[in-house]
Amino acid sequence: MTDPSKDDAPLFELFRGLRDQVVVVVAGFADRVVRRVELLVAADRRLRAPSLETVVVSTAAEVLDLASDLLMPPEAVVPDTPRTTPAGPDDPE
Amino acid sequence: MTLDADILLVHRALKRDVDGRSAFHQLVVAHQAWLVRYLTHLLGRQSDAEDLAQEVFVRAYLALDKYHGLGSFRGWIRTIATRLAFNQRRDAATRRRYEDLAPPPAGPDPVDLGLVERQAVLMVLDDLPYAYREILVLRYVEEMSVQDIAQVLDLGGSAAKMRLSRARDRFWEVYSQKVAAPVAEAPQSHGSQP
Repeated sequence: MTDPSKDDAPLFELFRGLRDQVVVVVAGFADRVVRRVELLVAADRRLRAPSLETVVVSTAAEVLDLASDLLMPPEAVVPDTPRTTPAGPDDPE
Repeated sequence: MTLDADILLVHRALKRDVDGRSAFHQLVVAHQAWLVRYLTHLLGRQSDAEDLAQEVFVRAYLALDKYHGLGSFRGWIRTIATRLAFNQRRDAATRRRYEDLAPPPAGPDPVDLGLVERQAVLMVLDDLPYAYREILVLRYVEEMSVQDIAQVLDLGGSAAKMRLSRARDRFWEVYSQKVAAPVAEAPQSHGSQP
């Protein structure tokens, strides 16, 4: 605390009751805080890291896609449609 | 709890494992009483203060890596609490403008000699703009220097001094109307009633 000025002194005296007030916090408060923290951390992990099941399913789908591409006969492959450029106002007639 | 003890607990909590959560639990237990008291003085109701204190601790846990141990852990969470209380008060101001004028209910200990005086101060604080209430609590309850208050409230030194001075003037003005005057006007003798 810095040196209280003379303006400060009566208020420090008046507020003493608030400074000395003993607050009884509801039982289990810290447990609830830690439980909330644990839930948040668990939810964050679930969001950040995909589950093993997700990884296996997505890898299996990619392998199946690749296999079907490889097994497809060449004539079944549709060539890319040539990209047409829309005529703009500057195009010569 | 000492500064060193807090820092050790923060280091353990940062591991974010089972032991870390146990360390964080110890930090909460060590700081919950003053934090709830501080927020009660800012918000007016202990139940609101407990809800917000929970939020403060959760935010502190999530931002623990930003606490570098340069100041006290108490000061760090007080800054978080001050900002969250300001936001909550601002959001609730419109809803509660007409409901929140009653003084807060008595604490758990009815045989408390300072209770009447404390309620009088809280009643006056209830009538002040929140910015004045906040700076008076920081100065006269938390016993912070004007320089530290300026830092917590993100103000310049002279702005903090001016706000404190205005808050003091307004406090005495309301105190003289709501507390001092009614006491002076009170009947001297109970036997004079018909």
